Amino acid sequence: MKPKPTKRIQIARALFVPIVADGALGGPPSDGRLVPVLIVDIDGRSELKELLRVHAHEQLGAVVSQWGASSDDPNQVFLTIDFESPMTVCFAFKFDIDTQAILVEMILRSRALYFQAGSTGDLLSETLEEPRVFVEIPDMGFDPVWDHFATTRMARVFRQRIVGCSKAKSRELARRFVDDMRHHASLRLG
Amino acid sequence: MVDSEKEHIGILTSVTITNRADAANTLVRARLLISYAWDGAIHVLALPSLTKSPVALPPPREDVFVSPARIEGHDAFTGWCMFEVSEALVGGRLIDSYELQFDDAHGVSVTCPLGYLRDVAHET
Repeated sequence: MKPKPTKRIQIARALFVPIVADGALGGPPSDGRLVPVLIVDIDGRSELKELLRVHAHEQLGAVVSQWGASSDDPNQVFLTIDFESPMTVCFAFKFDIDTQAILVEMILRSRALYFQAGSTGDLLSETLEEPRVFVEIPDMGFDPVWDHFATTRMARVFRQRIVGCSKAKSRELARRFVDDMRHHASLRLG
Repeated sequence: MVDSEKEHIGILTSVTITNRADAANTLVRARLLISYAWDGAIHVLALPSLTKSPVALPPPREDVFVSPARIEGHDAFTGWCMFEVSEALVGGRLIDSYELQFDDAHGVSVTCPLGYLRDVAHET
């Protein structure tokens, strides 16, 4: 059953920060969790440049985050990040379920994300020295909502891409896809 | 007050917070907001209050703001809020304003400008 939204909000386009590349970091600093790294284009976003600079000196802070799903596009989910300290900065990430579901899944499994500045084509392994910000994303009850959106959307994708795929078959494929994705996102590195 | 060895600025400010309502309320957070201009935009540092003096000079009285702080109805808190600002955070930035912000248990925020001497110089 489609989950009902708990509240409706409008997110200004200017708040969205484009994700241009990604990766994941795991190991002792993150307690073994495989934490996704979002490489974002902050060209023209001086507030994010300042946040990265300040974070290098003041690593503790307070963040309020909120997951959301688009009422217009069933292929999109959002994550708004509202830094309350050490700087007041608000921005949002937009994820396409078709292509970026693994990032959402990894954030939900690790309850965290990193972000750093970069450009399209950047590789995390070649930019390990770049400053990045670690953000805890606590459980907000979004997991079952995400499960619904991911399986529904991927079932539709399978129906579109596989000629003659029945609804039942596409749902089964989507379920398997989401379960596999969850398994990979739950990997821990010692 | 600047601790040159640790390269930080300690800010101690005297505050009086009144609760004019009948019911008690609780302050859950005090922050120092430092606004500055950089790269064509205004940015705001938001630093939490400390419970220990960040500089060698302690506040003149022992009443230090510690959150959460409950204030009974028609009562007030008078004491000190303390903050620490690393030089690295604001170095090279032109500070526009310092403000204190308090958040209560109902999510209501109150902001007030921090009164301070912007500059002191020897008269020759």
